[in-house]
Amino acid sequence: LGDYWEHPEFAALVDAHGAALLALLRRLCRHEQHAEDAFQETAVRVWRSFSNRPRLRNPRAWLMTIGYRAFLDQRARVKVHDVLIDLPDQPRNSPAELAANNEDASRVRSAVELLTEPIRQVLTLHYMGGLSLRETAEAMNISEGTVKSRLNAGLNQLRRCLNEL
Amino acid sequence: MNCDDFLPLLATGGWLGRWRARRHARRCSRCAAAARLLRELRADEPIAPLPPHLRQSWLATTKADSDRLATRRQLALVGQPLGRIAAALAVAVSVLLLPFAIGRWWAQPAVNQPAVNQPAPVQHQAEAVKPGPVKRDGAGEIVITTIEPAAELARLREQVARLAGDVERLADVSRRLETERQINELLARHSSW
Repeated sequence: LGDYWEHPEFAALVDAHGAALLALLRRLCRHEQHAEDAFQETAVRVWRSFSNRPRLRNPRAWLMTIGYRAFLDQRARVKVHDVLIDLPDQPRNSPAELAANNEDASRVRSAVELLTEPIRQVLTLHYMGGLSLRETAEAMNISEGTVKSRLNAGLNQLRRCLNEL
Repeated sequence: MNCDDFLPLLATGGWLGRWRARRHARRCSRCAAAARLLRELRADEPIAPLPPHLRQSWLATTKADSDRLATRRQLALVGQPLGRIAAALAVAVSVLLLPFAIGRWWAQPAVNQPAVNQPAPVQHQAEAVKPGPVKRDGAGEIVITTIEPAAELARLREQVARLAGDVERLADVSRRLETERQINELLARHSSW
């Protein structure tokens, strides 16, 4: 291994998918500092196995899977989960659109917070991380059927929560 | 297509899968609501650009990890000659000690060592006066006496013949005593004669 300029793909990877990875980790960790720690741990793991994988078919899924594994290991180390407090400033839409979406966003966020951990992870990996059913199943070491059933259970729970909220 | 497949197809299906999911949502109000919910989920936290310090730390990972690997390699290089010298020394010592050990083993006579707490047997052959099996003397020494088979057999036959004579004699005595007892009884019964 050399420095990153010897592997421009490594820098391209973070430019292409780094933001999505960080968003996924924020969703999973629910703690800004833990998310950044997991992000850096992911960087180390990606770098170490990068030279063995010169041609990636789906770099985004590969990156998200490594990020998820880094999150799991970090969660095992840090037992305490703090709720994400310092969400970074979101860029984004105009203030008028933000104001319009704010109520819905907080409703959905509250509903997601109420989900159980395995279901929340499946929803996060599949919908936020963009992993396919098979990739989600492989990342979580569960079957595709289990992923499907958790997705359905999660969305049903979300429907109920949003009706109640 | 059923409602269970709708959301997975909509989220990660190909263009055909997404088209089928949208067509399903037009007919199924429940799935249409779920699709709206999914849009809300995605819109809830739009992906922000990566902060510069995290991008910098990502790129710095390569340098830090390369340095760490280089340090490991250096340590391995330092440790390698020492390990080789130790291995060579061990082999040399083994080669020197092996002939010595084999020589000692070869020179040592094969002696059956007695067991612990078991006295060593002492063999007496011709000087044995009385034939007999194994004897143990007062000091706990086992004395092995060699016997002559023919003489021993003759001695045993003589003893058997003597014992047979004794049995015969005792039987005569027994018969005589029985006869005497019967006579005494008869005399006692007819004492009035």
